[in-house]
Amino acid sequence: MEIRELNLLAFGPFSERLLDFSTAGGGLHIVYGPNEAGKSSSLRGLKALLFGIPSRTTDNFRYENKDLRIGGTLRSHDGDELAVIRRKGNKNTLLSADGGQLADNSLSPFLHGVSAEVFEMLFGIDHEALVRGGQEILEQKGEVGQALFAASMGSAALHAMLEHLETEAGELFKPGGSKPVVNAALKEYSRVLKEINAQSLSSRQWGEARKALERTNKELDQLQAELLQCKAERNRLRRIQRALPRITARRELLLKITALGDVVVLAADFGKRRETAARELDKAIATVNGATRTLEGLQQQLAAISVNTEILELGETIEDLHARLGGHRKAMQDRPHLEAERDQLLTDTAALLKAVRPDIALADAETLRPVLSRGARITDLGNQRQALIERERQSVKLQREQEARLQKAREERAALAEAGSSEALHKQVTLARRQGDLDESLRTARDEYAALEQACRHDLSRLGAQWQGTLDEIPGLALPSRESIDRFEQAYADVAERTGRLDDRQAEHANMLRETQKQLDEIQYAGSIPAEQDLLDVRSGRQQAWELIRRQWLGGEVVDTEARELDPERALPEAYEFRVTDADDVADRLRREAERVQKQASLLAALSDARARAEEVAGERAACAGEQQQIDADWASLWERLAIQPLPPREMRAWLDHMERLRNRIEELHGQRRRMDTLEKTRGLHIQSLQQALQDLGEVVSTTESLESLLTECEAVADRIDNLARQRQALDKEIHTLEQGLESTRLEQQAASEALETWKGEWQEVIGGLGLGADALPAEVTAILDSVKALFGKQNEADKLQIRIEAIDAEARIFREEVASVAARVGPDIAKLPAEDAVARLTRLLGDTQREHTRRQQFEEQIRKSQDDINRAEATRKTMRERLDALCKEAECPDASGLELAEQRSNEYQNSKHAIDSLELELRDIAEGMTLIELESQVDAADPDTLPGEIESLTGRIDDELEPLKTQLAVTKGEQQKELDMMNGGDDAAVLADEAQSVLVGVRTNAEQYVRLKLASRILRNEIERYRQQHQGPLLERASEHFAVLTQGSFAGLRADFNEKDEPVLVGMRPDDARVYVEGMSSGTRDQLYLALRLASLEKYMESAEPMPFIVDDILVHFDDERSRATLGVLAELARKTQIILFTHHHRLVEQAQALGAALPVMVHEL
Amino acid sequence: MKFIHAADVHLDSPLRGLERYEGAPVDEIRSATRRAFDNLIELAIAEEVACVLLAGDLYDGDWKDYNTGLYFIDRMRQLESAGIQVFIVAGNHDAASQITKQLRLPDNVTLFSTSKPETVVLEKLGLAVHGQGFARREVTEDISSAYPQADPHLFNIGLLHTCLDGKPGHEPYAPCTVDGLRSKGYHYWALGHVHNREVVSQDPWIVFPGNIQGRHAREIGPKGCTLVTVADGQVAAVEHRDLDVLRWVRCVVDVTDSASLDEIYAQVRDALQQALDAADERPVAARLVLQGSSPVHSSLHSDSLHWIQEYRALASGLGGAGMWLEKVAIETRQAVAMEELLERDDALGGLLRAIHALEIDAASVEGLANEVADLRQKLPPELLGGEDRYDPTDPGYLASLMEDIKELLVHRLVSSGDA
Repeated sequence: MEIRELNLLAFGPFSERLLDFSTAGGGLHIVYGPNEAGKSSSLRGLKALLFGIPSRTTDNFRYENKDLRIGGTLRSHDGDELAVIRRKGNKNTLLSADGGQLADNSLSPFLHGVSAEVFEMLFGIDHEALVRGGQEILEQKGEVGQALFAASMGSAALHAMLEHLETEAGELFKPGGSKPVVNAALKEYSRVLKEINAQSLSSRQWGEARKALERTNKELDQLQAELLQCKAERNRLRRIQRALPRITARRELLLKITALGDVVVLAADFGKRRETAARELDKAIATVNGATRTLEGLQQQLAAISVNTEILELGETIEDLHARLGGHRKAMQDRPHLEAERDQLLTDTAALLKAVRPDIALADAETLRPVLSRGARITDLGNQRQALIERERQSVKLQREQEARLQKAREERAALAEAGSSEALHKQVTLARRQGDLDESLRTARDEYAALEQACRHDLSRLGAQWQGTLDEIPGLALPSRESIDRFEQAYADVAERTGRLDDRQAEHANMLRETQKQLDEIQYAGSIPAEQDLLDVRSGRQQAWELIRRQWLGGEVVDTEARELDPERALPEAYEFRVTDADDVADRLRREAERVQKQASLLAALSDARARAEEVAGERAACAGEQQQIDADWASLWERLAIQPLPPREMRAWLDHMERLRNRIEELHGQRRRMDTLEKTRGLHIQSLQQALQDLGEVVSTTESLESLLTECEAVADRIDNLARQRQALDKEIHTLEQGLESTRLEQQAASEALETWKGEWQEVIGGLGLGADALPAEVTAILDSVKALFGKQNEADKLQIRIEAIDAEARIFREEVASVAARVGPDIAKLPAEDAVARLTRLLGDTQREHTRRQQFEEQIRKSQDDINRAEATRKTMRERLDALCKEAECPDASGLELAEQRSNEYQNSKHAIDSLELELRDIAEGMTLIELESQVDAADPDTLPGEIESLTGRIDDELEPLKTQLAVTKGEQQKELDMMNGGDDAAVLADEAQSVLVGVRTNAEQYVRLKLASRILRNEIERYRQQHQGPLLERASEHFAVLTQGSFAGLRADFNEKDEPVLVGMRPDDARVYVEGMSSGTRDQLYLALRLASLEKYMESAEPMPFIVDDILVHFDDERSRATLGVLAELARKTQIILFTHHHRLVEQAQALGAALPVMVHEL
Repeated sequence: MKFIHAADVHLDSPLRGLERYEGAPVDEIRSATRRAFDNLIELAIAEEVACVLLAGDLYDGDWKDYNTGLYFIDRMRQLESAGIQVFIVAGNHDAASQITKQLRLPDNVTLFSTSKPETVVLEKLGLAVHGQGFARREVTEDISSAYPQADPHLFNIGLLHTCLDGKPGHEPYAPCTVDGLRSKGYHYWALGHVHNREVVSQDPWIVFPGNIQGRHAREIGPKGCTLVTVADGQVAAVEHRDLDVLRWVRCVVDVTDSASLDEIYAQVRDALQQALDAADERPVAARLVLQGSSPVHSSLHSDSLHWIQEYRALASGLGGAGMWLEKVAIETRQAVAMEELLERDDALGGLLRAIHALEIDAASVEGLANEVADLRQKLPPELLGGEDRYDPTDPGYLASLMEDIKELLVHRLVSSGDA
């Protein structure tokens, strides 16, 4: 295949950029473009032409995806040419040069099964791939097979890929490993299996557990019974053991009571009562004796004490005087100080009066007091004076200012002109604005109409040749219904299907006819077959001959003529004989060959039947053909009224779709026309109204076409009018405000003057009496008032002191008189003393007398108490004697001395009786429901000596043997029950089984991937080796030549050699036969080695297959000039056999290529 | 009178083929067979049926956990409290099961003899149930032939575990014919063994109810039991009731018309969503099958692991009762014919020819089996045997991988330049 033309119609930065690769005889095409010129885009375009535009393309920055187009012409080896246009999309992306749809696989005859990826791999090389190819050769250490294979595939990383396959497989599975995915999963699987086993319950386990539990229950029951028995016996023995000593003791006590004989049983408290009575009697006698002695001593001491009663009576008065003595002394000390202070104050008063009113004597000072009472009024008036004066001054000044401002405003108002109303203009503007931007709407509507009309015409032209009419005719067209088309399509399909079926049947019948005929022929070829008819014929001949013989023989008729007619050759008898034999033969054969006869008959019947059926089918087929014609006619007549020669229904349906779409579009077009007209009319009306409004205002009217500019003009006029009106209104308002202000200021000024006059009158009135004039200032008046206030203050203080002195004198007199009266009652010696001393003396005397009086009262109290004690003890002595007498009577005793013995006997009897009762109580307790007699008989039957031994042995059996066994069995039972309870039908094992399955699937999934990778690796390696064995010779030879040229003689060629591991590897040969392994080559040389191998593979490939263009993308970037030129030469040489297109950014290459000379055809295409 | 007919419960048999992955609804499918059986018990009690017929294969043959039996007894006791009789015949699996032999069943359960046909008559209901179980795993004679003729005064039910006249995919056990069954004059034949629901005949009624819970990718669609209403001694209604708690489905997506992987993704999403919606709030185990010739065939095959992950994530994100993507089978074909590449006399052509040769010639594949013999040795017997046996050295299997391997190699060779 060869690319004749690449036309980048709309792709990347290009529009209609044609690259003409159509030079005869191949050639090297260099597509040169500096950076940004679109070299990469053009390369992508070339690939996109062949294989489609990628869905995520980057070449849609200038044209939208849907508009991307790449044209091109391809030519196959056989000379077939195809011009196509590629558009972007998922399907149907190929168009013919005239825009018709091409099948997506139209390029297949040119591409020979090569996909986009394979094309890039096999027929493309860029700088990166070249470098990687060189690097790859190094990594595979020049291994020949891999190098050749990789170069042939154009694959630059074969080695890495092989290693990767192995690594991936190794991550999945390793025979001896445990970490890889499959190994790990297998381990997990066996773990889960074990777990399932552990969680599973076998039926045997369950049965055993149930049986064990039953067994334990039985044992436990038996043990319980035995334990019960042992414990009962031990109880009985223990009872006897406990009862034995008590029964013996009871018997002894009963004997003791019998021995005591008759006893008076005394009350329980008898002993206590007797002792108490004897003791109390002794105590009472001792008390009487002691108290009598004490009384006598007390009476003697009382008689020795005497007391002064006068002083005791005056006690309270003396204590009062003593208390007042301190106050009296203090007042006597203060009096001289008070007198001195009073005199000083009187002196100060006289001095003050002299300073204020020297004309008045001190005694007349009282006349000043009324002035002092007006002090507050004077201060208040004084404070008002300054404010009143200031108020009058301010009102005068304000009045002047206001008058000046009013004057100015009135002048400005007079200067302003009058103007008209803007209301009508505003209204028109608003109405017009409400319509939106009518100019723009109209423009858009016109554009849309034009576009729509264009689209309609385009659609009309695409309708095809079936129908020739104009757009205007379309809305009125009576189109056939879709259902009709469906009906016809169905009818066509039915007929076709029927026809097909009939054709099949016809063929089938023909076959059957042939087959039957063949079988018939076979039978018939095998020898003639006698038929029933043959026998009938022969028999009739025989009958005829016999008739003739009979007529001749019995009738004597002459039958010669008839005989000859019957058999011209034989005489009648022979003829008859012959026919008899013949008939027998035929009959024999019929019998002998009955089967063949039968077969033939059935075949003949089948044959005739098949013919009949074939005719029937032929008839049906003809009917079908007729039907088809009828449908054709009906189909044509359906379209007749549209003057259309219809295509088949499916295509006509598409046509109808198209037509209906177009009809919808025409309706849309008409709608658009109506909208446009309405807009134009509305706009005209608005312009007219606006112009009228301007004229009414007396404005000059411009004749503009644009509604917008007219609107702007109107709005400016309206703004101007509105502004003027606003200014006038503001001035009127200001003048009115100023006039009102001036009036109120005048009233204020009048009020201020009147207030000042009133104040002056009041002032003169209040300061009268101070001896000052009416114009006296407030400060002067205040100073004089303060002095008068001080004068009266001092005089008041002096008066108070005088009163205090007089009070002291009066009190001292009363104190002395009282002291004297008391002293006179107590004693004449005290009355002679001064009052202060007399009080001290009296106080001392009172203290002594009070102490004596207290002692006397104490003695009297003690005497009363002793008398009471004696009386009480006497009463007690009498009571106790009576009690002892009563006790003797109770004990049936003659006197108190026998009381003690009687008491002893009574106690002895009672104690024995109590002991017996308590023993019997205990025994009843021990008997646990038995009678005492039964118990006694049991005890008597027992042997006291063996009793403890028997009990001990029973206890030992219970505690050491039976109880532990019971505990142990209970534990066992609990465990067994628990174990059985745990076997409860749980689904743990089942859930684990699910998990095991899940792990198993994982193993399988990963194992499958492992197998794929392993096999892939093996197949690839096998193929690499096979390829090497098959192609190593010629490929190396050709690559060697290229290598020598590309390295400019630095190397003489290539050779396969063996390395130390005996593997075939590539070596470069120097001109002097020195070997250079790939590890020893420079990276540039390795690149050229890879290129040499690629080119050799390409040439080899072209020997056997149709060449494809080889696309080279700037591989020479790092080649020096020499090698670069050499490479260009090699490429140009190769281009004689196949098309080579080299894309480059470097102008140097263009120059080098052009310098190659005319011998080698090189075409340069600049972008 | 109503009765329930179920079969092939296979209690506690595991669900097969569900590889666990992040987002798989693991909890939703736990104890699926038990929960389906619980649904059966619930239905029987709610419908107040007179009896439940279990036509064999109650257990899985090689399952040994006696807990399964204990669970079964517990559920039978629930039916006993509700006054419901249960009739069971042993199937081939039960014959092999250890559990069957030990279990002491409650009084309301009748387990038919395995040596001869038995008949149980419930006079009050006017009902006669005839049945015989499997004595051993492989019963190859027609045991139905020995069943007694119908009692003309009663409603007669035949309980039988059978393959009938041979059903593909099922062992040919206890074969019999429809005519043979018809000749007994019964009103209803309650059959078991075939896992697909099928009404074989309506006169008399011969019914396979199918199993009650699908357990792997071949047991797809609704699963449950058959509820039969009897009036005046005749079958008045036969209804299928779904019991399954997890629905297995096969989602086949034809990608022929999809030009890109994104479009296929959208198609897959629609198909899976549809499957989930159709499952009536149940979780779904789906096998996704991609078919048709596609331009992205190579990408699908060479990057199949990635797409499986993507589709799994997609399935997890669908919501509803949850979806488990059991398997993604990519069975697409190449849209571009590769015949011409096969003829090329270069490395690529050689490689493709070699793979093609392996694909069509099983004998040559055997040479490759050695590569994976190590793997085979390590695989557990459960994987190497059984219904879904997997043998990595099987030549047929290896040949079937060649398309994958071809795409894998070509794709990697082509994209190795981008590596």
